Amino acid sequence: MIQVENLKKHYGPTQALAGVSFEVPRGEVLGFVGPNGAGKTTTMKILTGFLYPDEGSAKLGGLDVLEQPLETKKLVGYLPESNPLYMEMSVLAYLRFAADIRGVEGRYRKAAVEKVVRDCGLGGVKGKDIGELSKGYKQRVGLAQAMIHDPDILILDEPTSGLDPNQIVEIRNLIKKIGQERTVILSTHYLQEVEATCDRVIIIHQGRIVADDKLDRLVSQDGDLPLLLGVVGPEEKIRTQLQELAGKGNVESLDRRGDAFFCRLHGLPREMGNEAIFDLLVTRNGWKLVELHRETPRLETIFRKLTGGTEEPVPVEDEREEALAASSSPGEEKGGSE
Amino acid sequence: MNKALVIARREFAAYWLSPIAYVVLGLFLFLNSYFFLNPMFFQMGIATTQNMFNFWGQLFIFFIPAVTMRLWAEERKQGTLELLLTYPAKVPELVFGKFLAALAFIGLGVILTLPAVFTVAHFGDLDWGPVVGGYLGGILMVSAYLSLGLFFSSLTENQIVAFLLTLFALLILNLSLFIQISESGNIPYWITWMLSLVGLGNHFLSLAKGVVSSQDVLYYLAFTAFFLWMNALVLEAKKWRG
Ligand SMILES: Nc1ncnc2c1ncn2[C@@H]1O[C@H](COP(=O)(O)OP(=O)(O)OP(=O)(O)O)[C@@H](O)[C@H]1O
Ligand SMILES: [Mg+2]
Repeated sequence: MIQVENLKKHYGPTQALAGVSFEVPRGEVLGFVGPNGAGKTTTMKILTGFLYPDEGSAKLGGLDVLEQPLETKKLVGYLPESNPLYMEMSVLAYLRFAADIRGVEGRYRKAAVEKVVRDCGLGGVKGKDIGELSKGYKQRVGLAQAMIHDPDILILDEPTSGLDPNQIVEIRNLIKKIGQERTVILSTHYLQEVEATCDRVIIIHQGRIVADDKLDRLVSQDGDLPLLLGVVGPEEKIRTQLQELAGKGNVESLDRRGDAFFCRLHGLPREMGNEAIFDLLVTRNGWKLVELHRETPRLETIFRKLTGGTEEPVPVEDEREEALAASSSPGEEKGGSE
Repeated sequence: MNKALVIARREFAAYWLSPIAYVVLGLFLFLNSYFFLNPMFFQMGIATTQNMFNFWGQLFIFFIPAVTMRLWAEERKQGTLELLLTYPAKVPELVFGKFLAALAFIGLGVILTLPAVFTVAHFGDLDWGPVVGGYLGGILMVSAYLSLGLFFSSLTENQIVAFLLTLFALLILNLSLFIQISESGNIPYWITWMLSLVGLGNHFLSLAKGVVSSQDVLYYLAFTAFFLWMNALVLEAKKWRG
C-alpha cells in the first residue's frame, strides 16, 4: 500500500532524512518511533504531499506522490503533529467543510459526518466551536477530519501527545478500531502505544531507519528472555536447584516478600518452558510457586540501545504506573539525542 | 462541488465570525455615503456618482489590506495551511477560492452602495453610462487590489505585516492619484504620465467616466492574474522549503 524509497530531505543545512526506505502492506498498523528530530514528521509530510523530497520516491497505492498528487491525496487521511483546526468553526461546520474539500459527494456528506461523529465520540460536542473544546476533544476532531472520506491510508502524527491517561486509552482504542480496516502509520513517543496498537515498528534515528520489524520479532531479537519466579520455600535450596537447571550466575535474587523468594532466571533456552520449572519446583520438591512469567524485553530497551540513550531509566513499579509516568512527563522516554 | 467554491464558502463564512468584518464594512459604507451624500451634492443639485467613484480610488487602498491580511497569514500561523495543502485540490484552486471569498465580501459592500445611487437617480437625471462603467471598473480595480493583498498575505504569518506590506504597495502603485490631488505644478509632465500609466487607480477613474476601454480592463485582469499566480508560486515554494 505504501512504498517509500530512499527519501532524502534537507532543510537548509539540516539534513532531516538521509535515505529512508520502507514498505507497508495493506491493512498494517505501523508504529513510527524515534527521538525528537529523527525525521518522523518530515517523512509523514512527504507522504501526505505537504512537502517535496529532495531525492527518492514515495508511492501510495502504487501511485507516486510527486507524479499524481491529486490521486494519492485522495487515499490519505492526515492528522498533523500540531493538530491544526479552524478554531472559530463549529465541529459540524468544520467536518462538513472537510467532507466537501475531500470530495465527499453532497448526498453522502451527512452520513459521512454522522459516521465520524459517532466513531470519534463527538456526539456531545458537535454543536460547539472547536476553540472551546478540551485538547482531547480537539484531537478527536482532528481524527474525525482525517477519516471523513473513509481513506485507505491514515497518517497520524503523535495522535495521543499531551492527552491525559484516560483520553490516551480512548484514542488508542479508537486507533485500534480504525486500524482493523485501514493501513495506518502512526508516530509516537509512547512506546507502550506501539506495543498496544501496532503490528510493526520502525525506529528512525537521525534521518535513518535503524530498526524495522514485527514487534514480537524485534523484541525477541534482543535474545535473553528472563523468567520471573516467586517460590515459597528454602531460599538456598531453591537457588541451587535453579542454578543446576540454568547454569551458575544466571539466578538473580530480587526480593523476599513474606514467605516467598523472588528471583529472575536468565539464560534459559527458549524451548525449556514453564513446565520444566514447574516440574522441578513443585512436582519434585513440593514447594509452592506463587509467580512464574517470562519477561519480554521492552521496546524501550531496544529503542534506547539503537538511538543512543545513555541515561538509566527511572525504575517503575508496574506497567500501569509506567503508563501514567510516561504520559505525565513524556520527556522521560524521548531521552534520545538530536 | 468545485474545490475553489468550497474554500470560498468557508472563507466567506469565516469573515462574519470576526468583528473586523463588521467594522470594515460599516466604515466603508459610512465613509462612502458621507462622501456621496455630502452637502456639496445637494447644493450643486447635479445627479452624479463621480464624487463617490473619485473617492473609491483612495478608499480601497485602505480597506483592501484589511480584507486580505488574514487570508493566508492566519492559515500559516495556525498551521492549518498544512492540512489545506494535503487536500486533493490544486494550489491555484485554493488561491482562487480565497480570492473569490474576498471578492464576495467586498462585492457585498459595493452592492450596498447601490441604494444611494438609486436615491440620486430618483432626485435628478443620472447619466447611467458612468455608473455602469464605475461599478464595472470598481470590481476590476478591487480584484487587482485583492490579488496583491492575497499575495502579501501568503508571504508572512503576521497579519499586521501583511496589512502594512499591502498598504504600502498600494500607496506606491497609486502615487499618481495623490500627485494629481495635490496638483503640484513643479513635477515634470513625463513623471506624472509614467505614474498614471502604472497607477492602479487611474484605469478605474477613466472607466468611471464611462469610457470603457479594453486597455484598462485588460490591465486589471492581467494584474490580477499575475499576482494570483505569484501567490500560487509562493505556496508551491513552501512545499520545497518546508
Ligand atoms: N521547517 C523546518 N525548518 C528547518 N528545519 C526543520 C523544519 N522541520 C524540521 N526540521 C528539522 O528536521 C529534522 C527532522 O525533524 P522532524 O520534525 O521530521 O522530526 P521528528 O522525528 O518528527 O521529531 P519530533 O519527535 O520532535 O516530532 C530536525 O532536525 C528538525 O530540526
Ligand atoms: Mg514530529
